[in-house]
Amino acid sequence: MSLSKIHEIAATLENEYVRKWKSEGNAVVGHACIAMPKEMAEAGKILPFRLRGAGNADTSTADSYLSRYNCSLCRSCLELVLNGSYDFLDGFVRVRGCDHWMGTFDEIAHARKPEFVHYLKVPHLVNEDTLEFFAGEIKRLKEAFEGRFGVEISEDEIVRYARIQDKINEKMREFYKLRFRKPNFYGSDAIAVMVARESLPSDIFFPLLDSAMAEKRKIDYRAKVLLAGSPLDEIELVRKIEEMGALIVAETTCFGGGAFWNMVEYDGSDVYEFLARKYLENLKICARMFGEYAYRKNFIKSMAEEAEVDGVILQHNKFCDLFGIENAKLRMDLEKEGIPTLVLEKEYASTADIGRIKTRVQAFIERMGR
Amino acid sequence: MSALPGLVKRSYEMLKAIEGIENYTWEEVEGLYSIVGKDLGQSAKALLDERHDGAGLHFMKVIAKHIREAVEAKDEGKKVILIPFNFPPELIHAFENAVPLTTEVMSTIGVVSLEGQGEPYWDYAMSLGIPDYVCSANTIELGSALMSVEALEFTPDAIISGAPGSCDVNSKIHEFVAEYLGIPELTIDKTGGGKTDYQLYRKLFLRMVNELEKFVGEEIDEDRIISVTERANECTELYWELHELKKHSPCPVPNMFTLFTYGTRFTMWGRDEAVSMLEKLVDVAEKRLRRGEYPAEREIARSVWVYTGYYIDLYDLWIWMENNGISYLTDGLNSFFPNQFEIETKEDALESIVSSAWNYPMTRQMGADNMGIQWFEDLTYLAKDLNANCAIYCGHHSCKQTQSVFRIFRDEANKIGIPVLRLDGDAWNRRITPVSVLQEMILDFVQNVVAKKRRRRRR
Repeated sequence: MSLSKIHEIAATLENEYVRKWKSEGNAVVGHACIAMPKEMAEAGKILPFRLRGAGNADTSTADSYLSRYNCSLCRSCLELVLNGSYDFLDGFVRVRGCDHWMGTFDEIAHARKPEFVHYLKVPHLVNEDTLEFFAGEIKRLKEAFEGRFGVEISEDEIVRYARIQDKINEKMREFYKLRFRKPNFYGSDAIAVMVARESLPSDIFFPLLDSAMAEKRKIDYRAKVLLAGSPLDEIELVRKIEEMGALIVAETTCFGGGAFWNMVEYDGSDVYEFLARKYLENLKICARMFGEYAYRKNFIKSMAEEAEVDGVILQHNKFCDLFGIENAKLRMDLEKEGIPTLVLEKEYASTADIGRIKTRVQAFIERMGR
Repeated sequence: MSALPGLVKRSYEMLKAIEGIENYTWEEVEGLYSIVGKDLGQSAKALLDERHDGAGLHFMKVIAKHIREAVEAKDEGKKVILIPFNFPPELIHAFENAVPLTTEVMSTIGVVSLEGQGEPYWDYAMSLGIPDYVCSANTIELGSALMSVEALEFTPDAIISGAPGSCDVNSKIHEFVAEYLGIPELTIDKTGGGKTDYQLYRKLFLRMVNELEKFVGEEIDEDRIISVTERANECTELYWELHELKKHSPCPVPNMFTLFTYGTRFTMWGRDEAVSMLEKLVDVAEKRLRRGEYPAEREIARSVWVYTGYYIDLYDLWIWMENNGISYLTDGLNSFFPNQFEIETKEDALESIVSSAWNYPMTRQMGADNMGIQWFEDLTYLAKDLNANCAIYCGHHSCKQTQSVFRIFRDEANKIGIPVLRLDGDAWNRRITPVSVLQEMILDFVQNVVAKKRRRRRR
């Protein structure tokens, strides 16, 4: 019941809880990166809603703003902004992710002129200078929220929500472990859970996840696979891969384990310094963070070992520079260590790609000896 | 795979010969064309064009020295630091025991001076699984650097990554090469265009200088860095003199002088060679102005290229434009807005270099708080200042940042009456869009949009 509810939420943009949240006079802001400090927003009764393509493959209007050389996930999201599907948002936080997302937010500002667009500057390096800078940026975001939405965001409330996020992260880890040895859930379920988390207030999401975890499924599969690479919210694509017998039992992506697996818990320190450390350190799972390649490779390897997978799929959208290049190196290194690896380049939500992808996955399953 | 030597090795051998050339006649250039074949011949004809009055040869000698110093550095016990185009080489010139080698300049040299252009090196990178939509400007040279594992190419000792915050693909391909070759990479980051962003950028830059000093095993000498930055000041003065000369209509400054300027900026800025190069450019342009010379009989279009130019055929694009009355006034790579600085101490000198790096092309625009707006403001400032009547965007498929905000640029430019042509093609790879197609699109735009608009204004 809860699992089907989660799937329903993941398939919708403006879900019933968002409508209720707004009817109570609260705001919703769109963003596109896991560096967004959720507890900061929620402490001010602002729901951080992560932009996603929701399986939309039509980018005809967006293509006249972005170019065909830009990532199809960004173009899909821009299309949804332009056609009004995201009109329930009260503004945007332009969290510094990759070049494609930066252009997307600039085009949103150009085309739609939203009343609130705040630029959250996220460094590409982790060291004491960038952590100090990012703490300042988080304070600036707080002030922007307070100024725009007329709310007061107290440090106590931020801490309260940080502890709630800690509980959710812990629960998510438990949920993930249910997929490792003897899988009880599909990868498509896990992606839906992550998408729902990015679309709901935390007090709604937590009980929903808790009860969904009780709805264990009986799963048949030929091979267990870890999914890595660029942001992937395509539940339908994962379903198609799993129909071939390649069960996704873990993800290191930012719509997967990458979003929470290594996230630190609140330790009682200065709240802004803590948030900077929590989010910037965790962002090392993303190929946009430089000098952290070894970290990402080891993260994939350790999760692959823990989940006892037969192979790894490294996927990225066409024109994704960060993961396109990184996946080439990861493939070399993982294969060298005896982990069968498939690099899958695709277009977001493209049905035209499905046949090709199925053939490649089928061949990969054979290669894994399954 | 291929046993062909690497790009740097081949360029080094070829350009060594150029350093010995003094005077030449046009007949000799024509003769050279028939010997060296079309790839190199087109470049030779363009660089040695008589309108340049020897500036092209001078430029090639500057570049030859840049490469020679890097290749010979190893024998002298110096470290070679591979830098991206958006990083001030004067910092490396301030070291006694380090020399810079600029990635994108090397790719360009490969394209303009080697048989087969940069294709063998691009293909090598592709064979490793790197996707085909990465940037040829860096992947050609870096593809060649990857061949050093097969001892086919010269290996840099370290890499500086200067593009985080302004170009993902540039940053990522440099990281790939550092990981693949197992050499250190020193990285800076630009988070935006505000005061706190500058403070962070400065801290990261100075942190990087410190790491570089440790790596090279030498603390930068105060006298040496002051001398380098004084030369940089002289270059800046000459840069703006050339800029002033471009304001004349018809423009007396040959199209390729823009390329010569930033080619010098990206390699030898802060050195006597750069000062003498820029002096030559100003001198030739002043003489042309005095003599009332303009490359074509009539200047139809005064164009600002808003990002890069094309380097796949210098003669059939840069010189061809001149022959067709199209002035190439400046471009995005030339938009580094250099400043002169008061330098008395090592700290002053370092501060000036940080400031120059912050204002570098691409870093300045694509690393701003809003990429589209900063790009538009900078390039339309130049367009207005130089009295340009059109803008052209070389739509390189790898430039995801400019591609993503081109619509903003075009809409804003149209509001102020500057028509913009968007081309599609790879500036360093002729396989994507042939030169003949680019010529057709440029001519169509100039004759039917720019010239007509000009006629309407006259009526």
